[in-house]
Amino acid sequence: VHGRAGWAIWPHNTAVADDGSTSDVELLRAHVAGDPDAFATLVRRHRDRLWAVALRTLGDREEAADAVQDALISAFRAADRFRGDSAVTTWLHRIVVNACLDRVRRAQARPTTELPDVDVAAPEIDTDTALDVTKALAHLPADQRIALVLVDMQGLPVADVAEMLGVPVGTVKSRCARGPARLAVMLGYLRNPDAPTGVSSESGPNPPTSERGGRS
Amino acid sequence: VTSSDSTVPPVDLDLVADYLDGLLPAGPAEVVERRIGSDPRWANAADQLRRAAPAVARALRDTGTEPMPDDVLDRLLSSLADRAEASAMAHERVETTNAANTAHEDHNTPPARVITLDDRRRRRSIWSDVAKVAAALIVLAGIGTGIGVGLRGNGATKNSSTAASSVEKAPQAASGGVAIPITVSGHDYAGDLSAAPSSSIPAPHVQSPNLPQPNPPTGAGAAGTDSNSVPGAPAGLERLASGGLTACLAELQQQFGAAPARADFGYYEGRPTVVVTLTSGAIVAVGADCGLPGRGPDVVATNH
Repeated sequence: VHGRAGWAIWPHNTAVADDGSTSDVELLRAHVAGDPDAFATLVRRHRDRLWAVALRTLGDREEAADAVQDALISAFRAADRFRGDSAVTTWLHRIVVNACLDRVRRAQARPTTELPDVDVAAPEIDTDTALDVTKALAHLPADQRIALVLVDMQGLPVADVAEMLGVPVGTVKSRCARGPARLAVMLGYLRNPDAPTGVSSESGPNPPTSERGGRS
Repeated sequence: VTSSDSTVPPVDLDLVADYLDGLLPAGPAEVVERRIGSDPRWANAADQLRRAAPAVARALRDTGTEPMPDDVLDRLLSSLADRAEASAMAHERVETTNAANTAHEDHNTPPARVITLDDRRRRRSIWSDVAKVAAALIVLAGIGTGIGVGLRGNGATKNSSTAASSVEKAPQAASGGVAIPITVSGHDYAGDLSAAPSSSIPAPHVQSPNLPQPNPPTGAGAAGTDSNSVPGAPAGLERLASGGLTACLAELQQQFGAAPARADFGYYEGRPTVVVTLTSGAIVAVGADCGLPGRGPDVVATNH
């Protein structure tokens, strides 16, 4: 429903097909210019990735839904301040991450199940009791969890994530090294590594042997 | 890590992980390397971690995507659409007037745009939506309960077309509320909203629009009572000057997505208006019907 002077009521109940022919930047600019469909198209295009970031970071469906909503409303309003220094998707991720971090900080008063100093000999963790990745992530410290979600799960560049989180690149790299190590314990990939002879192939997951590579 | 030899440090998995990713400086890296080379437990941990890394990375990748549930998407789009609609209505049928341009002294400032009466008649009511947040904004705006009367001249008037008194009501937060400054300059903005009082005043605390904290005023001082009237307001703005500004500001916040920072009773091209500066920097001139059910904020002009 378009207004008489070029302004329009956003037909939010109408799903507009996105053929991908319009870039993210073009959609954002169109939104700023008053295109009533542009922002919805942008949201639909990136919704799953943004949702995954929020859900994996917060570990709670309702919290994630609220965080994504808060974030995208902020993006909706602040679109005219997007400078194009980064990709639109990075910008959207940053806003969602900030919304999630706000909620993480507010939730820090709650007791957490953050792992203590990792005891690699923890005998109670094996394949029979191993957590799935989603649950294991929730047991990571928030800073490691967010770094893993963004870098290892979403594939964002380390430098972008460092800027997003306001920490040095090396810090993100370290979080992305330590987080998986803790996950390996929780997922049952590390079984009694305190033993000098290593793990037997019959007693747990047998991930393929591969050289571990550092991040750039 | 349990160890029968208290002199051997326990395996530090974080350190091993950093070492394997090549993140340790030379000194600590050499220490970890020596331990891996000399302590079977450290060697075992490093070996297992090295072997587990690809599986963990794969598990993370495989878990990376998660379709947004339909109900979450619907809720999200609906919420965004509400804001788009509100914004569109605020700017609906906007046109630049020659008067605004000719009176515009500062060419760097966007000209004011005027909504015609005809278009305001067509504007649909959003009162039911606004009502949900109005109660919270009563406290936010501080009009209903929190503004003490402290009159003093502000001397900011220029080109006034009327001889209205110039007064300022000192901001004074009510219990649980935040006051905004209200002036009665009597200034005729004549298309130049940049003459509005600066928005660089300390912005009132803004509660999340999504989390209104209903706290309607009660008793003496409530909206519509004499105790919060604004003396000296131009004729035609009596309702707004006697408590109606609260609902008006709620409408404005709803439509512009920013909290009111201050308000000035005056004129716009001879028409009695309240010029409201929002925390976003937007300046909006509203008419006498602002806040009336079905009339929205009655925007006369805006620089936004």
